[in-house]
Amino acid sequence: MRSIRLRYSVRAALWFALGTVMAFSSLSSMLAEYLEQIDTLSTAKRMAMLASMAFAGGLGLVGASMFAWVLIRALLLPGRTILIDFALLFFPREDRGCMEDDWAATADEHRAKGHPKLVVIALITANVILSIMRTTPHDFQKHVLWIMAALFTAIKFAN
Amino acid sequence: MANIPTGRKAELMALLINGELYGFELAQAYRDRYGKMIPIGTLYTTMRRAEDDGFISSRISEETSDRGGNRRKYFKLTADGFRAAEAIAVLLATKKRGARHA
Repeated sequence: MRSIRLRYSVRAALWFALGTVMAFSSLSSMLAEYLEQIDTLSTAKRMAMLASMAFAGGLGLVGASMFAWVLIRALLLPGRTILIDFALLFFPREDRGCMEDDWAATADEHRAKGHPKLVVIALITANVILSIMRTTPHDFQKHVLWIMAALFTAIKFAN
Repeated sequence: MANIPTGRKAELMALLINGELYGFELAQAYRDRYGKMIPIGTLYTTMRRAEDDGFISSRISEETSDRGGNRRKYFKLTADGFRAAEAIAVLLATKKRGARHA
C-alpha cells in the first residue's frame, strides 16, 4: 500500500502548496491595503484587518509546514517519484494504477539484475519521459488545458 | 473487419496470440521478441487504439498483494484481433526470413 499512500501524499503536498501561495498572496494584498490606509482607519477597522491578516498568515504557515512535511515524507519513501505522479496525469484515470504497477515491476526487474539505484532511477525516468512524449496529442492537449485552467483559477482567486 | 494493423500495434498484437498478458508482461515479451524497449505509456496508448479498432479487449484485475496493491490491466485479442494477429504473424515471419536471406 506504500505507493498509494505516497501518491496521495504528493497530491496533498501540491494542494497545500497551492493553499499556501493563495494565503500569502491574500496576506500581502491585505497588508498593502492596511499600510496605505493606516492613518484613516478607525480602531475597529484596524483590528479587523489585523485579525484577517493574522488568519491568512496562520493559514499560510500551516499550509507551508504541511507542504514541507508531506513533501519530505514523499521524498524519503522509496519506490515512487513525483515524476511518475505527474506523468500519470497524462493518461486516462482507469489506466493510472495499472501503469504505476507496470513501472514498479520494471524497476523491480532492473533491481533484480543488480543495476545500481541511480541506473534504475535513470531507466525508469527515461521510460516515463518517453511515455509522456508519446501520449496522444488529444490527451496531451486535454491535460495541459486542464492544468492551465487550474493554474489560472488559482491565480485569479489569489488576486 | 478493419484493415490489418501495421507497425507497433501489429507487433504488440502478435504477442497476444498465446493468451492475455498485462502491461509489464507485454512490455517484457516485446523486448524479448523484437529486441527493443517499449515505454509503458506508449504500450497503453497503442493498446487503446487497438481496442478502439476492435482488435483488443481489456480487463482490470483485482488489487494485487505486491507492489502497493495496484490493479493490472490485462489485454487479449478479440475474434477479429485473433484473425488479424495470425495474418500479422505470417507477415512478420516472412519479413524475418527475407531479412535473413538478404
